[in-house]
Amino acid sequence: MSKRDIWILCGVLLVALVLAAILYCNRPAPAYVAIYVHDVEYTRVPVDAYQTIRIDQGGGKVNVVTIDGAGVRMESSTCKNQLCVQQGTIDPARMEELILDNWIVCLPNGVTVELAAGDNGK
Amino acid sequence: MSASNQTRVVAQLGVLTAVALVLGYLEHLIPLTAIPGIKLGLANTVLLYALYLMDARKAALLMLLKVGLSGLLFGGLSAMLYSFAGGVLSLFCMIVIRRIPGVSVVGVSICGAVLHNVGQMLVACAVVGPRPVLAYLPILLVAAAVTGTLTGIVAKYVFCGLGAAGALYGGAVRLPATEKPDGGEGQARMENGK
Repeated sequence: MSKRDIWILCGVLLVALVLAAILYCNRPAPAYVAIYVHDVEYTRVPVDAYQTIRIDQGGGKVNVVTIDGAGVRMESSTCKNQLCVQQGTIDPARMEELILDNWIVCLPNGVTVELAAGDNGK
Repeated sequence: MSASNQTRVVAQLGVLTAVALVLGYLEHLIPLTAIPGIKLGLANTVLLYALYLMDARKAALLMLLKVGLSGLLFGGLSAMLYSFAGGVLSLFCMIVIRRIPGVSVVGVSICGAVLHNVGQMLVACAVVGPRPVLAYLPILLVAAAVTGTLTGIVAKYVFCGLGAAGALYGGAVRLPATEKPDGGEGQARMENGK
């Protein structure tokens, strides 16, 4: 590796660090779970309202989100890659231990789940 | 371009496309990290090979072939769209960065990996909006730095190996000046091998 390669590497890592600091630090405890379909809000529920939410977009696209004592997770998805299911559970009480931030994303179905602070649902 | 040269280019591109496709497929079988959705990007070594030892136009052709064929074989249309956006941005960036003196194949590979992720994220933005994508950006940047360095080092050793095996290729493989394994000796060896 040349000197300039190392500069490039450090530059990328620095940008990542600064972004991470801005995005992940001082995150308030989440109050609600918002579910979006293609960036349009589908529903919004308090984080302590334990339930299972089924998002059926038709055409065989179904996502199931579960909120329970363990946290919020994508229970199942009809998408091909299953990355959203593999992402596991986000525990709202232990947000600061997360590396993947407060989102569960299912790109193929266009479904996103956000754990957010602020206005406590409907 | 003479007919025999053209035949050689067609054959080389065919072999490289096949290698890129196989590497892209094999990667799916390696569980790389605990974080879902992150790949090593080994197929990029083939693109780096084309960029350094052939030329930018052939590298672009190889990228398009790889994106199109792997979309047809494994991914489907939407996967094709993601890898097309990643591939175009990444290749463009690698062509530009390569011209900066003092940047080796490792630096070019890192930039390629970063821009590949950025390209895919732009498509993702169109699908789910910018906020979740932005939240994922720092992780993808770190991942690109790590995988880009690894694949860049792999590419470097491939170039060195090919330089040592230059005789096999009848001198067709010419190492770029910055990538000579031992200060120009590789080139000399290739000339001797003729």
